[in-house]
Amino acid sequence: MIKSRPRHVTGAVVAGALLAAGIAISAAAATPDLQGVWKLAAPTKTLKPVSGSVPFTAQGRKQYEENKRLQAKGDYDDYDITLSRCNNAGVPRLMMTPERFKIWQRFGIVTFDFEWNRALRQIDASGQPPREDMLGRALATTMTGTSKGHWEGDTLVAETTNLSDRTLLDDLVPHTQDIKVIEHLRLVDPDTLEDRITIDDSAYFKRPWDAVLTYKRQPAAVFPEDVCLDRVQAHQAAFPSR
Amino acid sequence: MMTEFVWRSGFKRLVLAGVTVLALGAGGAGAQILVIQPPIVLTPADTLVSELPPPQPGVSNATPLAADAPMPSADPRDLGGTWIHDQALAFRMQRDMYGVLVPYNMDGAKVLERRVVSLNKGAPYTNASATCRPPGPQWQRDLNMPFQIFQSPDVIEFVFEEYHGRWYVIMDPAKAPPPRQKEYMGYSVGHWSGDTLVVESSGFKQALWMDVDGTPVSANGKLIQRIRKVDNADHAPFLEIETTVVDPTYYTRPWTVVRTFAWQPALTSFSEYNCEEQIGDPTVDADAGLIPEPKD
Amino acid sequence: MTHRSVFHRLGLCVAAGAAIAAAPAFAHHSFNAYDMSKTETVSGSIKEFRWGAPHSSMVLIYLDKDGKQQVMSVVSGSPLAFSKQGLAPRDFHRGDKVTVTYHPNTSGGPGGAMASLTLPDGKTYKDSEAAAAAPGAGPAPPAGPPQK
Repeated sequence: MIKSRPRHVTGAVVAGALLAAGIAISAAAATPDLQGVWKLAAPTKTLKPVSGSVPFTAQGRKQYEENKRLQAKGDYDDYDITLSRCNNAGVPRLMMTPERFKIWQRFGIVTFDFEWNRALRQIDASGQPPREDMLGRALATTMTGTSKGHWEGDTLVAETTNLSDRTLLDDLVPHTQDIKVIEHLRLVDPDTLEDRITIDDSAYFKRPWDAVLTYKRQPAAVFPEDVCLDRVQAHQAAFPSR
Repeated sequence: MMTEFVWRSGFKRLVLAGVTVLALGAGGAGAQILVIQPPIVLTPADTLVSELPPPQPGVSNATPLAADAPMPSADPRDLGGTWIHDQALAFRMQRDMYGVLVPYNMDGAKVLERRVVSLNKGAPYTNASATCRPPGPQWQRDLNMPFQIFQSPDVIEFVFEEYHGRWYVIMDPAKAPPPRQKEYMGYSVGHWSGDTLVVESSGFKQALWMDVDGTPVSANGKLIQRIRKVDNADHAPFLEIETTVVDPTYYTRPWTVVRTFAWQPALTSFSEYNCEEQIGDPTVDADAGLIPEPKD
Repeated sequence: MTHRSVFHRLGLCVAAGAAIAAAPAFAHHSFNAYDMSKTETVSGSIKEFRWGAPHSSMVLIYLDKDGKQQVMSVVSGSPLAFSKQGLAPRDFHRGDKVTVTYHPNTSGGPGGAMASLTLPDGKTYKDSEAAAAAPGAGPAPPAGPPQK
């Protein structure tokens, strides 16, 4: 059994430790602290279900097989625009980056700050109403969708909807714009972060299914400026970059 | 245009756009007004830029801070939080913070001229912003979109909504030396001077457009930013950033502009910015249909 | 298959002339790069629709005058502009056969700024900002959302 020692963003002792590690301090009191620099413990291009295989519907399987066919032909822009044009990898695929990311927590907003292409995603656990949307942005899907979160004990529970169907769940698995992605993020121990991802998309999957990604804490760092478009122009790999 | 009041014994001095106005005496009916205007000598470069078609006016998107909004740290050296340039965007800088014409030399004036002309012809030159590349620290900050600051003793990181941009201010260069390959945002080193953060940015990967119309800074140019947090207990804290441009390639001397950035925690939740979907489209030219700029 | 078209200019869509300078700059897109005095028509199928604010762009597969398959980009307004005419992103699918009228790029490359769009089910959309910027239009309608 893994004993976890919960970290909380409160108190001068914790604050001092965070300062020494070069990590910014959140203003929130008594909210678990997931902040730091993180990296996948075991790089993978495939989002593996916790048990069994991906439970495709007939429609989902058909689109998946089509993606495999296009991949074999090298027609990347026809199914994986992250690979072909550095499109934001979206949720949950950004969480599968083999490179580092930082987590910041401020005003109830959790910001994921990725080394890959300086990508960003956020989880809004502030409980505040959404920002004024004067141009109707929320009417259209986006790659990272809308992520609403709340804390349950030491776990950040986030639900992401309004996801564009122009992304893949990993390097092949498709989804629709009706997908709901639920994440449970928590520290398994002070240096290990776990993201348990639940995929719920009934058009493509017969039932919701889970995958788990595990990250190890890294030293504080200044990420080199990654401009994915420059790499693609130089005919190098887009995602991941290595 | 900035104005400056300097009080000296017996008289007031007002400097407005390079013109000095003296009010002698105690004021009221007995005051005498003396206007001292140094002869304004326009160089050929000044004339060239002054005769260009005027820039677009910007519009402020300032909104008041919510009554119950969290406030910044009381520590003047803690810049952490969410900020936004909510004043009218300067589409072309034209004058410095004192209202004096930006001191172009002829090379700089010609670069600005060709950029403005190309814009007005509907055939603009390639620039970082239009090709989904990092636009350099000034343009990145000046856009009317929010950014967050995360601060530690070794590094201050700015995270921007627009262009999903980043700007790192290195406080301890021993721990983060210049990168092997130059970066679009350059390499920025900061130190505290009292409660002002002084940041020198240099080593840019390519020349910068400082604004929409293309006020130029060469790749060898340097920006010196003086950043301070201001809280006048009026529920409207802001950051003030003076940027001094040091670039003998295009200017006859250094010159400075100033911007203010309002504290706005409510804008911490960013909109997604994904220019790559469009610019990375393999069926589109790498320069996104823009005209490559002639090399100087 | 390459084409040149000017879109997402400068990453910041700026108002073009005095007529729309009064409203917030971020709410508009510039029509400098398009020949507003001309309107062309094309029929083709949607390759992709890139939704954004202040503007979106539609990529269309069409046949050129030699019968060769080509691709063009046509710039249009935000999701809000479409929703005001009863259209949502869900109404647009890859492969949909559409007819588009547009003001061509001044550069001469294929594509331009959308004037109107007709969907397979007959639903239409008219870009009100393009209509206001075209010569012979009346005063510009209030652009962007109503002020508080």
